[in-house]
Amino acid sequence: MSMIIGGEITEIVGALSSGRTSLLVSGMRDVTRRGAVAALVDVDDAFDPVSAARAGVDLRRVLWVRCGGRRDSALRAADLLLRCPGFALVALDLGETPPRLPLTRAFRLRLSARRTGAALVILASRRVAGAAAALAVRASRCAVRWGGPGAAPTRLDRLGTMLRIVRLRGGVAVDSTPGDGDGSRAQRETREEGSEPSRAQRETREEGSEPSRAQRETREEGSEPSRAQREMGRYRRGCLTPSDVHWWAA
Amino acid sequence: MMARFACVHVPFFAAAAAARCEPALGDRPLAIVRGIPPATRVLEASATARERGVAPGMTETEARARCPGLVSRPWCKERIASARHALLEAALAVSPRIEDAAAGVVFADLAGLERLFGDDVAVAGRLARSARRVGLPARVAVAGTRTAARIAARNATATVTAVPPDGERAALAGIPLDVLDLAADVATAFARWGVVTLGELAALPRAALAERLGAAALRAHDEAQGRDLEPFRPWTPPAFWEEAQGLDWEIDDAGALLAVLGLVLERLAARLEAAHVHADVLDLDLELTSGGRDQRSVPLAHPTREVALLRMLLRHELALRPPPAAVTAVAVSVRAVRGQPGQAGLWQPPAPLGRDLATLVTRLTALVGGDRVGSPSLVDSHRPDAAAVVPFAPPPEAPADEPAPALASLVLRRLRPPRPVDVGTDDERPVRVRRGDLGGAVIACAGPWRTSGEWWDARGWSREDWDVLLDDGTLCRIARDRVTGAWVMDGIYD
Repeated sequence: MSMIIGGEITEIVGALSSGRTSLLVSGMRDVTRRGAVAALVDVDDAFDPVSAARAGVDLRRVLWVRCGGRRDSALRAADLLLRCPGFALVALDLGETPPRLPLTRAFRLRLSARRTGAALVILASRRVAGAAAALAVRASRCAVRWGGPGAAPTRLDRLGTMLRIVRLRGGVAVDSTPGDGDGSRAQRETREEGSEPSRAQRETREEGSEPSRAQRETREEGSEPSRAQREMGRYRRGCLTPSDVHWWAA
Repeated sequence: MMARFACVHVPFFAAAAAARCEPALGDRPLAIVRGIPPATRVLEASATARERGVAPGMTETEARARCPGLVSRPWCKERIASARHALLEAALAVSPRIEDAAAGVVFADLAGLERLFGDDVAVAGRLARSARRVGLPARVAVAGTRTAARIAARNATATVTAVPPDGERAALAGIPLDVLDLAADVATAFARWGVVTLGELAALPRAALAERLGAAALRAHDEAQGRDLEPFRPWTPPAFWEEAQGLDWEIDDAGALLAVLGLVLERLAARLEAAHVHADVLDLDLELTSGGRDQRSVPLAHPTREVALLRMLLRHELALRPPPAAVTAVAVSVRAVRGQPGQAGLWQPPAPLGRDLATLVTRLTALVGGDRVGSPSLVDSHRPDAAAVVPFAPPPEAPADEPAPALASLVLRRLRPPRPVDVGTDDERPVRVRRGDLGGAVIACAGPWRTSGEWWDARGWSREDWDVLLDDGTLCRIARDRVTGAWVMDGIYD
């Protein structure tokens, strides 16, 4: 299971104790274990190296930037990291009170990520990148299991997380992945998450006027899958299924 | 003319380096220790301490039990580096061609010295006196090869030993095998065969030895015959890497100061390029109109000699901490190192280039502070949140290919510092957690997990941890200090 899409923005959102940080750390593990380098911009100094090392992260390949609660510094630090070629993953942990991220700034971050090929993963309690994100996943806790020999639990055993894709750009190309069984599920959810087309949009389509820039981009993406779309196609093949429960061992 | 080499050997060098800094120690038994008390271990012991049963590897407590008058000093690499340099300079005062073989081992080429100082014994005596003058008691042996001279010096009891020309094999024949640093399996094989001296080892057939024990045994065979295996690598004193410039009038403008520093850096970089070395640390010394000096050190994330990069790093440094007064003179010095090849493995994923990394780390440091950028590193302790930040230097080699665990680990989000909480308990189990105006009933909890440590000094801790699930859905770890009874929230599982 990996959320790493090179050159794109991925958002992981959810409440505390939902398993979102464990999901981010598992991505850092994948990156560092294959010998690549990751960076973590930590707004609230919440990263726990002991937990991460236990999860298998090679800490020597992690550049940890602690911002001491300064959210604007965190965004600037992420911008600097994305402009430096060589990082496979730049994780931006915005904590519980994420700052307002103007759309222009979000698209600028995406442009930097595309130039260097780094994956930007934003962790927050709510979505901040808007349309600049290629993939957004909402994590929610679905179970907590306790363990121990007696009736009273003596240890926390595991935590279950339900992942739901709330945004997935380039869904048409993704669905065309050969041998894909549940690709339409994500597309349905994406459609469910987005609003219904407005009356004006329906009228525009009926009139057959010139397609908008966004529509043209969508068609172009649909006609020839980009690298990001091909990477996102992996999710159809079982790397990330939106309604499965993922367990984290305590 | 036959080559002659001298080996200047200082036994138990770490202890000798400590005694050099404290002459008052005299002949008292001395041990160099390392670690946090009481888990300190002996790394090196002086000859006097060894006579009383102290050996490297034992705990300091055991060493003191064996030798009641033992004096211990902590391991200090600066002290050893200083003593090593002093020994090299002492040897350089006698011979112009010396080699730095190891800490406390220096080879000197004696070619042409007989006209200046006399025979081998006279030259060796001069070397020993020169080392004694810088506070290091050395044994000196002279032989036709460096290997023979080193073995003779290690085994000697007298200050000066001279092996006659062409007499190396005979001189080494009776020396026990212990003087060679043999691998454990090779040493065991020799002991099983009954080979205990260098002469017996040298008499073994070389081809059969290679077939049975491989390259390590061949190397030992060569050393037993006194053969040199590596070329002589002359040591020269480190260069003085500094460029300075006095100013006709004081400068209080950052731009003008950077222009001057750029000129100084260009001169320094030209010298570094001529010597094929790079700058590792940049030291800046500014003379101020107030009469004081502003000295600062700029560590580089990657050795470099690029003027533009060095100038940019100084610009960030001066922007972060401007000089307190106008500047009247500048001096820039560097610590020079050999450049490392920048190419990684063919199948390695790309990593940031050293030049880009140096710039990035400097900018991040200017943005969030120097101690907030780096790689997390675990500390060898059971203390909660025992971690440190070390300079970011990803290893060039590929990581070991380990299979992924069947179940990924749950991660804790730390609260730094831990938040004090009010906890209501029932039969010692937490039932309610209140923090400020927020509070929640405990739905489920697990614990306690009791830990303690470092009770032997003021940083001791003793606590019991609980994992609790609150009714607002928060799954967190709380802890009670078993000394004060105070509760804190360490972090939240996420």
